[in-house]
Amino acid sequence: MNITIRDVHKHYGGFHALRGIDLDIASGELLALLGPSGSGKTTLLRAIAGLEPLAQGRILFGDTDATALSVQQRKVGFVFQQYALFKHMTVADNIAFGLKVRARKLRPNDAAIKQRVDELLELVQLDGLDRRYPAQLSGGQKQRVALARALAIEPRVLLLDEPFGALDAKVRKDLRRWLRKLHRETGYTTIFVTHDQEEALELADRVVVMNKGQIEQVGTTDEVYDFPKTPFVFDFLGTPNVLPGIVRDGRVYLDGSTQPIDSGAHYPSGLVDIYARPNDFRVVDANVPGLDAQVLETQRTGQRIRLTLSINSGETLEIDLPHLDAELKVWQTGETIRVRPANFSVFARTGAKHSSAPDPLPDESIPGSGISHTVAEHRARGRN
Amino acid sequence: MTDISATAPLDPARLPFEPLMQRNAVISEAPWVRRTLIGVAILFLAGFLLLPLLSVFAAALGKGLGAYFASFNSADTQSAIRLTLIAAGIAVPANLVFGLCAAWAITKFEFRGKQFLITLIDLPFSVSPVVAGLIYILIFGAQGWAGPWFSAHDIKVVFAVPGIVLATIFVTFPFIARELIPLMQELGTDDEQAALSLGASGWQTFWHVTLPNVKWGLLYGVLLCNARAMGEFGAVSVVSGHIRGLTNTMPLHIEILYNDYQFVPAFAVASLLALLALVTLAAKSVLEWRFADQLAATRRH
Repeated sequence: MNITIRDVHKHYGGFHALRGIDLDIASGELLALLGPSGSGKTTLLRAIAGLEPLAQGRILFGDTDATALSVQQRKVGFVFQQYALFKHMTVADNIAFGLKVRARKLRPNDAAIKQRVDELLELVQLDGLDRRYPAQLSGGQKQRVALARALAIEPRVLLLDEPFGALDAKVRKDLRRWLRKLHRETGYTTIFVTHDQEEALELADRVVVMNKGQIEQVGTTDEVYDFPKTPFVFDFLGTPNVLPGIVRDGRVYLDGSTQPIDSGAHYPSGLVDIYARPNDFRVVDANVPGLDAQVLETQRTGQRIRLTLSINSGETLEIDLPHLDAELKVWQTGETIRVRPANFSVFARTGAKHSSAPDPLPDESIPGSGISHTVAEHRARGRN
Repeated sequence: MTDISATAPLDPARLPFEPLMQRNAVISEAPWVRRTLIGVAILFLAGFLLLPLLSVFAAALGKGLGAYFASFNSADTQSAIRLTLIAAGIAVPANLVFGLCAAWAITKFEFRGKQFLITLIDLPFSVSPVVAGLIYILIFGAQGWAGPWFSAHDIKVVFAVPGIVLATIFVTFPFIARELIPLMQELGTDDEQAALSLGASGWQTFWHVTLPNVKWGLLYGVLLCNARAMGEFGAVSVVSGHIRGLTNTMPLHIEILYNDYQFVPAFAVASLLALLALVTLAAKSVLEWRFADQLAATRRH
């Protein structure tokens, strides 16, 4: 079932939780609502479910206006963050709940309910656990019971609130893969909320990045990662280096550098911030345009090397390079190298854009190095 | 150094089983201090609680079992027991319903004046029971606001069973509500929302989800409420009028018997109330021991 959301607003007292959300969700899609806490992602999910009354706006399921429908009438499968399993019921009774509470005319008979429960137990791979109580299950098993319970009513749309939030890393990874497979097999339109960018990028077809009650960007996982529309999206999908720069005649110059670092795209002139991820830098030869930088620190973890660099303007830069083989040269502290951002985004340095960026990361100044000014600090200053 | 190695655990797995005091010199006291403190506590409990309780039974049985049981043959005593059971039998279910409603309203809805309502529920705890009784005299008494209307319709409230029931309900109102509110606040509303999203009606949600979730807390509240309802003296004393065989509850009857120097019957009825207290205490302990996790440890009366 495709879902259309138009100009949805939600207030909690004086707090404007959703500020005009417009979103189209295609039938059968697996969509992630991604954002920091307080961004309104869970509120939007609950609004779709009918658990939050709306001040303004419309939500359509297919062609029917669902805005005025109660939560019961909307027939959505909602999986709560803490699962909300009924503690006093067995797994089978939990799953059957949505069928058993139906009006007598619409209720399947006991045999049909039992058959449906068995099918669902098989689907979520919990066969044989039907007589257990929720307290006797692991976190991952509870999660799957909650999912089966939501699927039992053959929902129009499946809504998952932080589906892996309460699980440990290993289970989370397995369950993610499994959920992706389940989605492929069942084809339910699925929307899930997460604050974990990795989870969103791995699981979803499309990602909705939200911030302060608004949608920052909607796109496929590739689009939001490779072409972030706003500094916020860039920042949220990784910890970028932010370098001050300037655009003259459509070309981007780093502060204190006379060589442009990009010749392809055309940008409007003015002061800019250049956003580049640590793994988007390349070490290049001296004759290639780039940045001369001094190595302050090297740190190798397995197959990656993380370099902390100091560039001419006094900024520090974090870059992350693959360590391909043991014979490869390892850079030493104090060495001067030339680096070039292979991929980066340029955002005009204006107050409005910057206020949408999340709070700066904790200060990462390196003790004893004499460098007191970090990227994060710079960003905070640039905003004022 | 040798001290540390002597007390340090060789096997970390055994650590939780060792008494904290011996392991942690910082919070432990000298042995004589410990013994004195424990001794004082036991002596106090024995002297102020156990001894009076025993003396009640001793006095009741002082002239033998025959005299003890004979004291229950009096019509007045039987009527007092009956009235107590009636009052508790009405007050407890009424407070069960009110308590559930109040706890439901407070924990599941957001509304203006919620804090005020919580304070109001606690009112019977803070108001003297005598005042509670007087309130009903002021409302339903001959000179009260509603008194003339009721007497015109030939309904007796004060100095009759309805007044006793009302006073009992007033005094015992907080027990169930106060038991349920923290429990239901802790449980939150996720379960209810899940049930609603699965298509359950409000009533089905209450019956199949909310009630089973709070049933042990509810039972615990009912026990406490019942004990207080049967034992209430002050408020009931004001509205009852002490008419023997008609408006005397067990506590009132005990006082009258005692004032008449009928010690054996007085203590026999008292022993019945004391037994009730013991049964309640035992049931409460069993519930606490069995369902400790479902009874939030935040409220004690």
